[in-house]
Amino acid sequence: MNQASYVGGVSAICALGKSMDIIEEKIMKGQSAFRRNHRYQEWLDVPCGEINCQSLLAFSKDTDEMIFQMSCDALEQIHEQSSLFSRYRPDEIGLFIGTTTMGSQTTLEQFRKLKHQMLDINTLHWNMQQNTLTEKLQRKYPLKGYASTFSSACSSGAMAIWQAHIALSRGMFKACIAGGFDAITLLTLMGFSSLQVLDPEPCQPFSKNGKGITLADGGALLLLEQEPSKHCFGRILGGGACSEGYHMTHPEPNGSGMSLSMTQAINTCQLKTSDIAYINAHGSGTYANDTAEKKAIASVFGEHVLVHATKAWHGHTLGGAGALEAAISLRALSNLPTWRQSCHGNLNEVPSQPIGLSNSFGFGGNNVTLALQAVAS
Amino acid sequence: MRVFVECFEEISLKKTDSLSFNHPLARRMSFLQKAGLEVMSRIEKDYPMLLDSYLYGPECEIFYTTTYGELQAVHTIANQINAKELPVSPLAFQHSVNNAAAGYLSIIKKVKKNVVTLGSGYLALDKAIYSIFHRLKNEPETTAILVHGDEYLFQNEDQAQAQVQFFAFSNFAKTKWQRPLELLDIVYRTDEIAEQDFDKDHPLFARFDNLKQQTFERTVRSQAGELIHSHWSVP
Repeated sequence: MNQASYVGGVSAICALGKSMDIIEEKIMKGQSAFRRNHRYQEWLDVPCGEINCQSLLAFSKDTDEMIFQMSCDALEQIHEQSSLFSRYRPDEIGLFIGTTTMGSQTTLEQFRKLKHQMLDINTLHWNMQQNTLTEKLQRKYPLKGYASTFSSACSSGAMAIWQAHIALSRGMFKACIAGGFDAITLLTLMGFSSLQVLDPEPCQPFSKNGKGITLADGGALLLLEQEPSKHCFGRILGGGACSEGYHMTHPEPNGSGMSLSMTQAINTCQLKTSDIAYINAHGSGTYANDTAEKKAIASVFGEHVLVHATKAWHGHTLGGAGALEAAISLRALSNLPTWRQSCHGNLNEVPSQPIGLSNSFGFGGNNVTLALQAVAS
Repeated sequence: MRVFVECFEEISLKKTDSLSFNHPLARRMSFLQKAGLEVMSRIEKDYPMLLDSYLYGPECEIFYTTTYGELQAVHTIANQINAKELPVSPLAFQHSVNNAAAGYLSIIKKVKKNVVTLGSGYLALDKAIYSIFHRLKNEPETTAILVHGDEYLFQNEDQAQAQVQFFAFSNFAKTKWQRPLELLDIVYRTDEIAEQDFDKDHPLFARFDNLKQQTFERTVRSQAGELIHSHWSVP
């Protein structure tokens, strides 16, 4: 289980852009991607990180299709980087995707049509199921290995990557596409609004002026492999995950659950806290998350670690967040001397092979921490 | 290494059923969440110490699977949005995530272990079983708990509002438990099946309703042509 998996491809799509190079450039310049004139502006006047790409925005009336198209674009980028489909037989490639909003559009439409009918799971539309995403990807691409859809709210994408890493180490397949995608939907926008956790201004994680989250479209995919390929982006060393057992939507205020998932990640990878140079925090922007996470990081690491809260630029992509932030973490770790300027915290010396953590915490109290190592550029 | 189901329990929760557990949070819960805790409560009563040895044991992995998730909560929010009755219910939104029942399990039973939630549609249960089979075959002396739950809408008083199945898996003989099943083999493959081959009458998923036979097979299929075939025996 401590065996690392190699990252042979990375693709990310979010409001900042459709490639890791663009995302990096905008984060380095401190440009966030939020705007008020998004597709649900008539419903709610808050900033959102809507995807800024005409080919994807064409599907903005059907968020299920938008999530699928984002996943296709990301998968094709991975193939361009790695020649995935020519290097592996279809049944050698697993597919682990995290999502929370796939099926939401169909659900809204179906419930509008099926008002007051007797409903059971045999009469509901297939496309209301979240696994529609993996099934559509399996139909479109040569992906015939074991596929699974993870749905643990905002930790879904990270959970998919961690479980893919475990499945690879068990020999369930030779390579696995792992990640997560979500889009802003009316269900999530109105839901988070009802909880009064949407920031009326662009979100400011870990800032005393922050008032909540900013929702966004996006996610990322990683290609995980048993053996390193020619273009290796880094390694997933392992991870930690736990249940908070505290509250459905609030973390334990002292961050004990968050500390536990980070400590587990360090222990299962046989690392020391001093090995960790960088943490991509969950940093959602809510008071409850940010105060608990700040305490958790301080209790495990003290002051000497770089902490990044990249939702300040790309927003909260829910089930896609863990994957997007894992992709960003790998990029940051590959060039920490440059990236450290946009991080909080101190680091006396940047190690030559920096290791980092990426935190993702979700409703239901599900915490996941990934441990990653980049190939230094 | 052999893979056993040490304990299997299934419940259907109706509106009129009384719960055997008592917790202040229960009145806020959906039928699916109540059914999940009810099945745990019954196992605690019928098999004392089983949950302790699994949930709090060192080598147990917990899976929660669901076909459509928290239908009642999602239905409430969807109807409020469709009718523009805003704001939507904050409680329904909290409950709308697929892992809400797993969240209540961890809150009420003080479980700190990770729960892996699969929202893999009609194949969710069997995908978790496939994953558990690989874990138990590879890693000696490990265990797994699998809870599968489905919720229904607009049922009559005498119909089930939610159904939950509970499995405790191990790869070593803990003979003090019920041990009703042995999982002999499970195969996953993807065939070329066109979407139009499926319709509402297609037997997409099987329930565990044939436990009285000596051996039985179970096959589930998805739109993408995925097929999971498992072979079971009753020791």
